[in-house]
Amino acid sequence: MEKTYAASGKPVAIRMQGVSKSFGEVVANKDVNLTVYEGEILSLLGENGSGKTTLMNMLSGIYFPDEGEIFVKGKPVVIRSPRDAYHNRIGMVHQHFKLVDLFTGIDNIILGEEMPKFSVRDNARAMKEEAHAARYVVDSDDSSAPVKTVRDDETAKGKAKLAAKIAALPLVKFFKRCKFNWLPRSRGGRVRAVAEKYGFDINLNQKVYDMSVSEKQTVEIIKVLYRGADILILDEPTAVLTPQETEKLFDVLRAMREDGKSIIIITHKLNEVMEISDRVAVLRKGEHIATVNTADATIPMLTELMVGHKTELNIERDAPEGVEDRLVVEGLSFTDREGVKKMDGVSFTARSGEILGIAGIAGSGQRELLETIAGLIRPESGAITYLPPEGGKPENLVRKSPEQIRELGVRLSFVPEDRLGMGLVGNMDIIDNMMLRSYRRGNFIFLDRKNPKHLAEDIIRDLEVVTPSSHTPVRRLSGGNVQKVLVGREIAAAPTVLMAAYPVRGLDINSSYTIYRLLNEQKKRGVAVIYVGEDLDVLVELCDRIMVICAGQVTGIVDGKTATKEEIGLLMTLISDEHKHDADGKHTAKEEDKDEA
Amino acid sequence: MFLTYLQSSIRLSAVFLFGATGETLTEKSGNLNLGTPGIMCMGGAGCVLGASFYISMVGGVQNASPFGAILTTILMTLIFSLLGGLIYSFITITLRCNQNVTGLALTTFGVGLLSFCGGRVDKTGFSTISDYFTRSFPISADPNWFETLFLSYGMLVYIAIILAIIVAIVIRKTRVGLNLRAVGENPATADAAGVSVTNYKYGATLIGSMIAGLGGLFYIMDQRYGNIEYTIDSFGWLAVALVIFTVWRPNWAILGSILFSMLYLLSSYVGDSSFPAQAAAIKMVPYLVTTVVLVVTSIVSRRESQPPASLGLTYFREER
Repeated sequence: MEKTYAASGKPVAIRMQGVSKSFGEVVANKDVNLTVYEGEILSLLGENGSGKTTLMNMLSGIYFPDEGEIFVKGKPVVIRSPRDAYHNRIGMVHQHFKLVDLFTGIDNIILGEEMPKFSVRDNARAMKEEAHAARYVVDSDDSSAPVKTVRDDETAKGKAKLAAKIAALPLVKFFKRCKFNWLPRSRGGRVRAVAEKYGFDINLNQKVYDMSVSEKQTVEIIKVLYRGADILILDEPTAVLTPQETEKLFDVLRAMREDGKSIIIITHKLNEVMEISDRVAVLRKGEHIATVNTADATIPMLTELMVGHKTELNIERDAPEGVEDRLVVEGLSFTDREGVKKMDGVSFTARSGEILGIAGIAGSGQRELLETIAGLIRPESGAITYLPPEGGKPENLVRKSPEQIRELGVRLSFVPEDRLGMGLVGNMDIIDNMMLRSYRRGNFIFLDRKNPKHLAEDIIRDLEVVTPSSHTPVRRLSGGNVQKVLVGREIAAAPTVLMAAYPVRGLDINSSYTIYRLLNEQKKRGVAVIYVGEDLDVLVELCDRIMVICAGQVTGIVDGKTATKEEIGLLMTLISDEHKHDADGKHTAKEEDKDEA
Repeated sequence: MFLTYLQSSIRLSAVFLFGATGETLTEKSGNLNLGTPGIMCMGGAGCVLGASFYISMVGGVQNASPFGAILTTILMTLIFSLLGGLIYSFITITLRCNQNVTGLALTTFGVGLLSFCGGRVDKTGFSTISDYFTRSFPISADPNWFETLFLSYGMLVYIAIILAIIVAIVIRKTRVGLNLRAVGENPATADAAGVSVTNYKYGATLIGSMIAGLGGLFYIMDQRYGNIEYTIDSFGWLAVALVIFTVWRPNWAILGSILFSMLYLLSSYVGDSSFPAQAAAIKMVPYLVTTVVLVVTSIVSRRESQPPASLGLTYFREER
């Protein structure tokens, strides 16, 4: 097949034709056609569950397509395993990094590397040809004497030499294999050369478990480059990065594009699509909807393509009403079992009728903070004071179990990060999950199932939960519906404090906006809402105040109406000097230095 | 007296060392093979069958040659333990069944197979074949301490130590070992990097089983001089404990196995023989030591001394 050229004149790197994949009855991709050119950055846009990752996993050999064909550089290929993908020079950086924590960066990069091909037969043939080739020998001064031709395989000595060389070939192969197999201490030379070529600044000799998220991502990218990939697939690469780190990543990607590599970025962040990509391919419900040039695209247009109908993408934010202090947190400190300081003197006040956002790099102590307030963690020091509405007696919540907190009459609702681990029981139906909060209210021995059943039906109706019935185990529901059930239950308890950790993680746009609406309703009712989020755009739009934490320390509390993303991003990586050597703080401190320089 | 104690400890250590080396190799691939005691028994069954088969083949023990006898017995041992490993691998890797249940069932099976085979073969002439295995380096009639400690063992003791060193080097210093460790730590990562998880798991489990099976051969042919002993599995459990004790390092297992066999033999060298309870109590010490080590490693929580992260888990690429 000849090289196919597009109108743009660039050669085609990948063409996927009619690719379909289903898991059981769930269709993940249906008849997708996709073309990627050399030297371009293509965004693959779509909501969660629209099949972006599945489609790319078929290129990287994790999944095998049920139907359809894949062409790489014009040749039809069959990619049955990640190894095949590497042979076709396709490499993927997965969203959940595929790194062995216990290995150094270098060992992770050379993992699975194959020996350069060495075929005994081919080498033997080459040697025979070389021996057979005529050599011209001029051995006399007489210019009229004929030039003698000599062939090595015609003399006895040459023959013996050739036979010996060929006989030794399997041995040569064996030694080459042994040498390749041996891991000398200096094994990182070629890896470092690749890292330097693209200007990565990273210590590859540290263990992966000591690395920050952005360093891990760098290792993944170097790994893909080291394996010689021309086509790089990045799955949600910016989900875990600060705005500054994202900018750095984009510079690297642009440098790679200049180098002629094709890059596919999976994302659902529209502003990043507009910033980095040359073209955008939109997937919806597993189907390819359209591919447009980024220059011709607008954000509303892409949203419409992605969601399928026009959506209002504005989060309303009313001015807080009836603000009074509800929860006063002072000097919380906590060190986890691995000795990492997860909270270091955290102090803040959550007020009623207000949404307090908490921003920070994942793992900076957000989770521990909420769990401490909920009574699941006992901090080393600090106080949490709950001031009931209508001026009741203040209560200290520290070192009380969730049970005791409830008995004090504190109405605290918690939407944990891990929905099916901490929030709901996956194998129980919606009604039973409602009962988790109310089972104590039953009669002497028999449980009250009537009220939870009503509650479940109310939630299904009001929040538009898509489920066959209220008796379906919640693990069978999609992520968005699970979250609606959980948030619905927590709100139904009529809380005075509502804590939500990453409530929209993994949710599509429509479900996300339902959740934002619910949070706003609670705020209007005078609930003190604490919202831990990762999408800074949303935080800036939704929250009245935003508290930024970094490595367990509060680095600032900013007003949501005036704060900018950049300001928050900087606070997310800002920590005081004495913590620069903390395991968690390592990279952030470095980042900060650079930003100042 | 102490010299003989040490010497017999080093000799007995081979049975632990074979088991621990094989089990370490297997566990590095993420397979927790609790069938190792059974596989050692199966190795023992193989060696019993091999020896009696060889004797009947050459027509009586008087015609036996050392080379043929050793070759046949080792070959049969390897085949039988390989079969044990194959059963385990097929069930846990290909069919992705629970590793613990499979392993425990295999142990029961192996113990049964050994008593089945051991009870039915003709054992005459085993002591001659055992002589071939226990033949040591030529040492003087009145050996000095060096000869006693280093040269007085049969070939299998040296093989055990050499195998442990080779396995340790392969795991730490080669690409094969790197890939193997990656498979045991994080199979999805290894898979995405192009390492065939299935091949590595099969390879490590089968080779590990064959090494462990040699432990059964050693115990019957060397330690017991050809008498069939049906309690090899108790050594197998200690070998599994030894793997934890040495935090998955075969080179440390060389010393660890000597320590374990010193503790195991302690009761016959110290204490009052009129108190059988005392001997039984001393025999518990290795397990106690292992428990202490487990507690210590989990307190220290150094990442490097933890078990392979995916130990005991099955892997399926397209799982969602």
